[in-house]
Amino acid sequence: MIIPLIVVLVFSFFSIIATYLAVVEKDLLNSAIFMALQGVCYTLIYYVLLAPDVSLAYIPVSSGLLPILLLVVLRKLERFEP
Amino acid sequence: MRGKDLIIAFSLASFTIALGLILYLEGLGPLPARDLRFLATSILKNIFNPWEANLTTYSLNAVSAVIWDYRALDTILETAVLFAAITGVTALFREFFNVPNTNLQSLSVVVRASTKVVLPLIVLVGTSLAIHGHLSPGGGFQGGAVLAVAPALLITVFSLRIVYDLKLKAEFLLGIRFSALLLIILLSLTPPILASISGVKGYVLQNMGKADSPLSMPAWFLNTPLAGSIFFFNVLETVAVVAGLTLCILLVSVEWGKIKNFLTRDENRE
Repeated sequence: MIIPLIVVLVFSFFSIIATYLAVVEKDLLNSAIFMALQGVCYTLIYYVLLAPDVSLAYIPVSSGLLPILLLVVLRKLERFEP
Repeated sequence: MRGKDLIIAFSLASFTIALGLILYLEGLGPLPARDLRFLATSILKNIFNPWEANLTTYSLNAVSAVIWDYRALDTILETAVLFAAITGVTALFREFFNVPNTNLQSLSVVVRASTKVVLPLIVLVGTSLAIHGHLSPGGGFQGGAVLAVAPALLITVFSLRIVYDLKLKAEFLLGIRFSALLLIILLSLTPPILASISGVKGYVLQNMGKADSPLSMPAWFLNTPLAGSIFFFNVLETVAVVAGLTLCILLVSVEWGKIKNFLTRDENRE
């Protein structure tokens, strides 16, 4: 019971840091990468909390489709926020 | 900017973790009980239980059993939400269905070679998640989302040229999506139609036979549980999700210049 708790705590710690950096980052490419990092952390948390179905849906959406969609959209916009 | 941001992020994270720990140790009030409630117990007892023929689904994955059998109507409405989103994207990009791109530059050799290695694995994992959705964790949406990463990667790495080489039309993808959704509706209406023909009772979205209705989807395929409509719903949902998400990526990767030209042309006309 103690190991899942530690895993959840550590990865939620990292996910909060990644979320904050994704919000404040001026370089939107880095911001997309931080979002993917946050998604990986959440996937691990879901898996440890015994929800493999949710984590299987979260892997492709958070680390596959969302960054690709953001990169495709970023090619049309300016990379750096003012 | 870096150091200050990192300090703020660390302090925010520590604060949240401390709050979480306090919650976990019941510092803010008692937590809900950990033992299984009646509903969970009855679902776990009945998902694969040949001795309880009126309640079972023959699906080994409890989540699939709940979302495509006990609560299938909710899932159909959930699919309708994704359908509405993709309809919105299609309506926004309706002028750019088959615009040829001039900027057809693919990425470097390293990226292309590694994509070629990874792609078959993605397709394999997605297919197995979709087909084994009723036996192991996975299911229609999961398999479809994993499979949709493959065309998204292809379009990003090899640029839209691969779409023209494959003669893939947006209308074709839309047609696949529509037919998969129509098949889902048709499959859910099959038991009442069959029942009205043969003169027994039948329900919408019925999977296995009930106490007053002998109609039943196939429960076994050779010696493997097939779980009746759950398997078919999973496969159809996978097809619908793959077609829809591929259509989204395809439409979004239209070159910005074309869209800008279209918008300014509209302004000039007025």
